[in-house]
Amino acid sequence: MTVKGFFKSNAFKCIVTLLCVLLVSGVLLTIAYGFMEVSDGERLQRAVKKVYTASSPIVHGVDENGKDKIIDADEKDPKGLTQSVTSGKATILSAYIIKFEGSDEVNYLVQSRGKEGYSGGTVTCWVAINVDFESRTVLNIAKVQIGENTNQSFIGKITEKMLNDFTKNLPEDGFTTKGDDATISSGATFSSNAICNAVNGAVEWVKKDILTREEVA
Amino acid sequence: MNKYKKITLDGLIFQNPTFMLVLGTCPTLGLITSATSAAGMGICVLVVLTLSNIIISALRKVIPNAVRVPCYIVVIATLVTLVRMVLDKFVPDLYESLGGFLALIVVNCIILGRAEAFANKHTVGEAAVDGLANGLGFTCALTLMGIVCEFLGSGSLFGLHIMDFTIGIFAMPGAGTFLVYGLFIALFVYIIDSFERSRRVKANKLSRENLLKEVA
Repeated sequence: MTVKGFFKSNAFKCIVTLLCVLLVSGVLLTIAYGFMEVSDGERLQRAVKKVYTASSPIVHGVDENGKDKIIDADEKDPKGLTQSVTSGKATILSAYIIKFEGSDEVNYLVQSRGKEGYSGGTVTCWVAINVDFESRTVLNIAKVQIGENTNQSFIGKITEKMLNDFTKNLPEDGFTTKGDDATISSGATFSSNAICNAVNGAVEWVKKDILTREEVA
Repeated sequence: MNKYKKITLDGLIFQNPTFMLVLGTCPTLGLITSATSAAGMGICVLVVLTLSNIIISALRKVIPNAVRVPCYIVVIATLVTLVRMVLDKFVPDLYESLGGFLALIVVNCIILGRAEAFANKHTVGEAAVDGLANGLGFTCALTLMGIVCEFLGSGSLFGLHIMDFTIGIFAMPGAGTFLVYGLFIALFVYIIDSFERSRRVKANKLSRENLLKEVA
């Protein structure tokens, strides 16, 4: 086939058509991404909004030094933890300090992934922990919000009320699903176990890794 | 019968993609445990299907036959990515609840099937109506099954708690959703079959009367 013949052939037409479709799609998606990009800061604000439905708190990042700067929704890369940390049967994915205007209350908002759920799956929770910086102790669990999960088919049985009732009082040696009436929901025992692991891991991490630091508070 | 009416009725009822053609079973079985997710998925498919049908129909004379399938896939993948971006930005809860099934719309056989079987042979208007009708048929089917599964499995409707009694098997994708899907197919086919039979009987009766009149 001659060069001229190739340019007049059906093969050339196919290549050009396919490239044109790809080019138009690529340009369209690039423009759309520019308008609809969701920054990490925006994702964080969404999570905070889910946990603190009634108030709009001020969020600080927690990094290796204990605390960092105030984070807002425009933040492209909010500094939570720069890498995940293992704590008990949980993995701490990120953590933030939450303060409220006109209030002394301080929360640590910890994103914790609990292991040993149904079928070896995990449950990721946002755990808001109320702390007292003076005595460097954990006071209670302010709220637990379930995030994503893997393989937890029955997790829908655990309502927000059940979860908040269960985590209302913080036991000395952590939450457990063992024993009578200990589980969050009897229809989702394994998922309850993963949630307990996530909450316990978050509390332990704040107690041992954060509140023991010199520069905290 | 008006051709647009025929296309609409085919997509919605007589060739309903979920109950009659049994297409798109992957998101169907995976998402009908929640009515909200089922309806959300249906609407996403409706949007992608309608737009892809319009674009493919508009480009049907430009795209060479040899590369039509790769071109369709690129168009569908672009639309699905756009829908994902929009959901992630404006409806993050639905985006999270649909999870991986949203990206799987790219390989949904309803969309590629309609592109190949209908959109590349018909005008833009007809393709748009076909996309809307099939999308609506899929949305209605998923939402109906979602309502039943959520009611039985979680005792709620669209997230609103209604009763405490629940049957666990319907709360998770698998046996429960498969059972509901099967029962709905049986019910739908029975209704359509009864309707067709009564129509046939009526037509036969009419033709017999006409014949008798002619003989008389």
